Order: sequence, then C-alpha cells, then structure tokens
Amino acid sequence: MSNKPNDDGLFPAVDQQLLSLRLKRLVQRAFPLLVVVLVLLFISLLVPRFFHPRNLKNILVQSSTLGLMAIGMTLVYLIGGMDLSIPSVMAVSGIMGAMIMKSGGSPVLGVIITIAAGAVVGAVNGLSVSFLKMIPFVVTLAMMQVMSGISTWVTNSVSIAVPLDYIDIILFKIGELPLPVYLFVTLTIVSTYFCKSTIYGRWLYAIGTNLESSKVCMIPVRKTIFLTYTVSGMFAGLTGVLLTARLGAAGPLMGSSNVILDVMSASVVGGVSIYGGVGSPLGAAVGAVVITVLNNVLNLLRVDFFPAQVIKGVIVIVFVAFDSFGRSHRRQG
Amino acid sequence: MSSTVLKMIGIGKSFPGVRALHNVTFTAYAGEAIALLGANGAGKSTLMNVLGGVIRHDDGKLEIQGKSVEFKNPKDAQAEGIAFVHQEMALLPTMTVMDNMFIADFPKRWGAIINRTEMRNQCTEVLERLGCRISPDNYIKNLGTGDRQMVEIGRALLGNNRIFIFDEPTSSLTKGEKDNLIKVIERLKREGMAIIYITHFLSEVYDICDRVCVLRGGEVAGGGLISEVSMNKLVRMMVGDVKIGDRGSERNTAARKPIFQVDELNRRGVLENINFTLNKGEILGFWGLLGSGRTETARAIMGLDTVDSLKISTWKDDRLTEVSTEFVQHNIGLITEERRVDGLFLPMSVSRNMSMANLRNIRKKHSAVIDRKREAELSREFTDRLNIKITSIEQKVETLSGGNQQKVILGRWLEVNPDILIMDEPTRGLDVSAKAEIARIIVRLAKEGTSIILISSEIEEMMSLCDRFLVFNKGRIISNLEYGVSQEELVGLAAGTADASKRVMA
Ligand SMILES: Nc1ncnc2c1ncn2[C@@H]1O[C@H](COP(=O)(O)OP(=O)(O)OP(=O)(O)O)[C@@H](O)[C@H]1O
Ligand SMILES: [Mg+2]
Repeated sequence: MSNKPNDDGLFPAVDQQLLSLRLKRLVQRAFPLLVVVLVLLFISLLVPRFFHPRNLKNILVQSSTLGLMAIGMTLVYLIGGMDLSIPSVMAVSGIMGAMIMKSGGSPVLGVIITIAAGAVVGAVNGLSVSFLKMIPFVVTLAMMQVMSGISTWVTNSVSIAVPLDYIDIILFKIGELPLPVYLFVTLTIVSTYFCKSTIYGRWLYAIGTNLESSKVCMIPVRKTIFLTYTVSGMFAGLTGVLLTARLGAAGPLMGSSNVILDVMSASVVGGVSIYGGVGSPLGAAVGAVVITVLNNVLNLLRVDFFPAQVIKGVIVIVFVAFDSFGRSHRRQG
Repeated sequence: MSSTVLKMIGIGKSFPGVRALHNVTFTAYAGEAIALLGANGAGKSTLMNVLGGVIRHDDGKLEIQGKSVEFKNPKDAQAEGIAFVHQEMALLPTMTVMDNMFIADFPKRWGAIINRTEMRNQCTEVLERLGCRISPDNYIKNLGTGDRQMVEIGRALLGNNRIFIFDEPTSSLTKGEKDNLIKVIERLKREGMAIIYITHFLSEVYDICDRVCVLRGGEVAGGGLISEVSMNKLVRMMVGDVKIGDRGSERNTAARKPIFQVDELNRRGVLENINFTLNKGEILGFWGLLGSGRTETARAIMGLDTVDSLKISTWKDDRLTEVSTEFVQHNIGLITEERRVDGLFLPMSVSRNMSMANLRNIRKKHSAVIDRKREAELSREFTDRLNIKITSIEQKVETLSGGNQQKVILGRWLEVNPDILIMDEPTRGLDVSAKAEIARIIVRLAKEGTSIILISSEIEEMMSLCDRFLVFNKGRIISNLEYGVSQEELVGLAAGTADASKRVMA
C-alpha cells in the first residue's frame, strides 16, 4: 500500500484506519490501569474519609516522593536494567544531608550534598553495570545491602533531626500545596518530554529494545547506561531531600526494603515494562498515585501491614503477567 | 500422477491495513517439491504460517489427505505431520544443538527422565544426513548462521512428518551445505514426502522443485509444472517487467585515492594480521566462505568485538592519519547480516528504525529535540525509494515481511549517507527486483564517492559489483584481486584449493 502524504503533507491517507488502531492499542495498554482505578474508586466510596480534602492533599504529597523514585526506576527499566537500591540510596543521602546540616552546613548545602550523594552511588551502580558488565539485579541488590548497612551504622539507628528553616524551604506552600507536589509534576512533565522527544530519550528506548542493534546504530551504549543509573541515583537523592523535610529527620527506616516494592509497583502499574523499551515517566507517575491511593485505602480500612503486603505483591505479579502476555503475542517468522 | 497430500482452498487473511492473502488455492503432492515464489511481501510466509498453525486464516479451508483439518496452534499442525523450517530462526542460544533439536519433545525414559543417549544418537544421525559436521554438544551461541540454519532444518527432520515447509532455507548456507540440503530433499521426495520450498533463488527452483506456485500481492499469479515455465516467465509472474541491474564491465578506474586503512588487525583464534586499504568510491568485495573472517573483520572495525590489536587510519590533510575507534563508529555505516539480532528494533515503528542511526542529524537547531516532521519526511522518502511495502511508516517492523525488514535497514543507512559503508549480505532475503534495485543503489553510491565494503555469499552479485576482491580464508586475507578475475578462481581460492601465490597484501 502506498503512503503518499496528503494535502498538509503530514499524515498519509491510510492513517485514518491506523489512528483507530492506535487508539485500540492505547486502550489495550491502559486497560489494566483502568481496572485498578475503578476498583480503587469503588473501594474508596466505601471509605467516606477518603474524600476529605486533607486526605486527598496527603495522597498528593505522598505520591510525590514515591513518584520521583518511580521516575528514576522507569528510566532504568527503559534501558532494560533495574535499580533495587533506590530507597536505600534515598535514605543514605538524606542522612548525609542531615549530618552536614547538623554540623553547621546551610540548608542549601544540605540539599546539594543529599542530591550529590545519590548521584555518586548511582554512578557506582552505573559503572558496575555499563563498564564492568555486571548484572543490574546483583549489583543493585548488593548496593541496597551496603546502603542499608551504612545508614544503620552511621546513625546507630537513631534519626537525625534537620533544621526548621530547611523544612520551611522545602515544604514551602504555594497556594494549598507544598513545593514537593509542584516539583513532582514538573519533573514528570520534563522527564516525559525528555524520553519522548529528545535523542537521548530515544536512545533509552533503543537500548532497552535491542542492545546489539543499538551498538550498530552508533548509540554510545555504555555512556548512556552509566548516566541513566546516575540519574536514577539523583532522583533517589532528591527524594531524600523531600522526605527528610517531611519527616523532620533522616533515619535508616526511610529506606526500608518494602519501599522498593512500592516503587516497582508504581512503575509496572503505570505501564512500564520490566523487560525494557516500553513505558514512560508519566505512566510511572500515575502509577505512583495509584499505589499511594491503594496504601491510603488499605490504611483507612485498617488492613494489617502483612495482608497489605500480600495484596500489593499480587498486584505487581498480575501486571508483570499482563506485560509478558503482551510480549509473547509477538509475531515470529 | 502422485497423490494429493495437502490442499489449501480459497485462503484469505487480512492484517490491519493490508490484505496479505486473498482467495489463495495451493496444492502439494506426495513425493514432489513445490516452489512457492513471490516478491517481498507477496504473502508466502503468511500462507505458510497459516499451514503451520502459527496464525489463523480468515477465509478458506485446509485439507490434508482429503480430510478437512483446522489448526488452532502450531502443535495441531505438527500433529498432522507438518514440519516448518522458519525464515527467521528461533533457537535458544545458551543451549546445545541437541537440546535445541529436541526441545519440543525430548525422548524420555520411564516417562520423565530425558534419555540423553537416545537424543545423541538421533541427533548425530540427523546431522549426518544433512552432512554437516557440528557436534551435538556445541552451544548454539558458538555457531555461525549457516550451522544454526542446519540445526533448524535438522529439527524438522526428526519425527514423523509428511509435509516439509522450508522458508528461505538456503539464504545463509554455504555451497556445500546447499548441496547437502538438496540431497536431503531428494531423499525426502523418494520417501514420498511433500516439500514446500520458498526461495528467492530461481536457479534452485529448477534444481529442486517439480512444481511452482507464484504469489503476487497476496493472490495466486500462476503456477504449474516447473518443466513448463521458463525463468523469465517466472520473474514476470512475480514482479512484472524488470530490468535486472548489472554494472556490465564498467568499473571505477579513476586514480585510486586511499581513504581508509586497517593495519595489524588481530583477534586470537579468529583473525590473523588483517591489513587492507579502501579507496574512495571503490566497491571492495570481501570474498570467502562462511566463517572465514569477513563478518568478524567488519565487526572488529566497528568496535563491536574486542580485538588484540587494530590500527585504523583515514585520509585527512592529504595523508593517512590514525584515528580512534570512536571516530570510526561515527563515520562508518554497517549493515549487519543478522537483521533481527543486531539490526532491527522489532517492536518499534518503521520510521523509528530508519532514523535510529541518524538522530544526531535530525535534531532541531541547537537542541537535542528530535524534529519529528523531518524524521517522518526522511522515512517516507526512503521507504518510497526502496519500495518498502508498508501500510504506514508507523507500522511496527516485526509485522513486515522478511525482505521488507532488510530494506528498512538499508534505508537506515541511506538516510545517514556515510562516507564508508560496510554491507554484510545486504540482499539476503530480497526478491529479484529488489536485489536489482539494491545493486543499482550500491553502484550509484560508489559513483557519488561512497566507499563500500561488500560482503556477499552470492558470487554473481560479487562478480557484477566489485572493483576489487580480498579473499578471506581461515581468518586471514590470502589474496587481493582486481576486477576481471574469473569466477572459478575466486571460488577455488576461498575453498583453499586454488593456488594463492598471487597473494598480495593490500
Ligand atoms: N502481524 C502482521 N501485522 C500486519 N501486517 C502483517 C503481519 N504479518 C504479515 N503482514 C503483512 O503481510 C504481507 C505479507 O507478508 P509475508 O511475510 O507473508 O511476505 P513474504 O511473501 O514472506 O515476503 P518475504 O519474501 O519478504 O519474506 C506483508 O505486507 C506484511 O507486512
Ligand atoms: Mg517471508
């Protein structure tokens, strides 16, 4: 079939049909998410307190920290990697920042140190994966171990309080909502645009889709992988900044290992494939809101911690199953 | 007259935006081989995927030995004795040859334990029948394309099959392996099997097949006994009138100006002291058997494999200066031989696949933002120029026919238009007219000053295009020959039977 451009020179005539096809694909991909949202909406109707403005605001604030980590994770998923160390890195960087400020550093220095610490650990992950060719799962799992160790060790399991002016700056309110929510929205938009519209974003998708083909297409594969892990670390650091301010202190519990399940859930519920090459930060951000709502509802319904873990775990499995099912339906031959 | 084994009647199949098959009727007879021919995207693989139970047809019905059948999945088809050698290989690289052959149905002892002795015996027997010398215990990832293809064929020979589908089986086989395959097919025919043979090499059709069926645009364009159809008529049925491109004896005779030089390329056990020079506007042929080091040399130059030593120089400021591999990677295009493994991004669109190496050049000014409009324009320009059969540039590459996938990779590099282009089997899987078109494009590129390294296993293609040949044998360059050398000599040199005394280092 030919594909001559029509009058405006932009879309081929046959695209009419394909447009509906694409719509169908979109619906297909968003379908599981839709189900979850509907279920949550239904449940939340059972919990009247859910719609209380304070609760809704709370959800947004909590989503912002989870969301930023999920965006970092998404970038790593896109290149076909994974980063299990995100929450623990977040805790360690928060602690670093808090320690600096405790010993007299200004809030600005605190913020810089926190983000830089995340970036450094991310860079170590990136170096191991890209240049030393180590397996992401193993590297970041070990890193998670190391980071949890460090955070308990240097703090003696005691939280380190941060100065009030730091909290005031970070949680500065614009209108009804604090700064972190705006930051979350902005970074979601920026990183989604980055992924969808820039060369580097395209490279991420390429590497996650086919590493060998990417090399042949002259994509600087190793450098890109290295930087992606570094950026993921930076997002963890940034989350550390926000969470420390919200909690008023930094401590090892911030990055407890069940946070990683929430981060992964947010990404996969948001349509990001753990096999690489599929998804977007926007999806992960929506996923983060969904997971936060889920946590919130489970909390309001007074579901115990452990059954709640089971429910969330099952959700991840179901979404990953959807993902693999979609993949196995590829044509071959 | 032999008996009818298979009848496909009035088969129709549509994909979104394209009617791949329409009212196709196809018959295969016991003890005969039927060739299924057609241009790229004519619907050959689709028809066979219907027969193999890989996809379901919309209209029509299937009869096997007079009995109407319906296949819901490949297992159903296998149960009816249909063996399918796919166009694109589906082997597990980290497992052994033996495991791959039996993966669908391991021979078992006491119902559950894998019987490895039995497996080994059957595997060895099949490999012998194919006349290829690979060990059953070798890992697939250590095998070249040709050997992999043999494993795939071996798999089809196991078990009780009566219909054999070969979808372009010879596109990556050596001459010897091809001859063996022909013998195997002859034997299968004598045993009363029905063979369906898809290929773009028409001469093979006359060697192997008894009948022919030609598809064109998803419909039957003709067919009959092969003895009653001439090759010209076949080509006309497939693609209409085409001029088969040949460069004739016109060659690049201008004073040679070196633009690229490789020195002391060594990779232990694979490549030994490779040295050569490439001139501006030259088409340099790498000739040799499969596994002689041609592909490996190309990959080494591009920095895709680690090597023990390598020096690369390019022409700069009136002399050859050594450059980094990074420089090479940004200035040389490589069309790889295995399109699905290291060429394409299967789940991505045609447009994205084509722009992937060219992103740096289609940025909006002073930014890293991709100019989507430009991207689409270029994709459209080159899909048109290469006549790629697509419904839109947004179609996913995995849904294209094999030949059209190959054209997408070609288009990608035409878009970049680098000074030096290495093409490893660029016409594999292309139909006659596409091949001719590619040949014309290669010649034109060279005329415009692009230097080309051409690797092809088709001697005619090499003879008709190259200005100069480097003959590879066991990881070394054993000869440097000018255009005009005879076909016999090239073949002999590659096989190591001819005298390589003309050995000159380029
Ligand atoms: N899953 C699919 N979705 C959309 N279109 C498809 C799909 N599978 C095949 N097609 C289209 O059907 C047509 C026939 O493809 P097919 O693979 O049968 O060609 P072919 O004759 O085997 O060509 P080749 O010689 O290049 O291998 C092509 O236009 C192809 O793009
Ligand atoms: Mg095909």
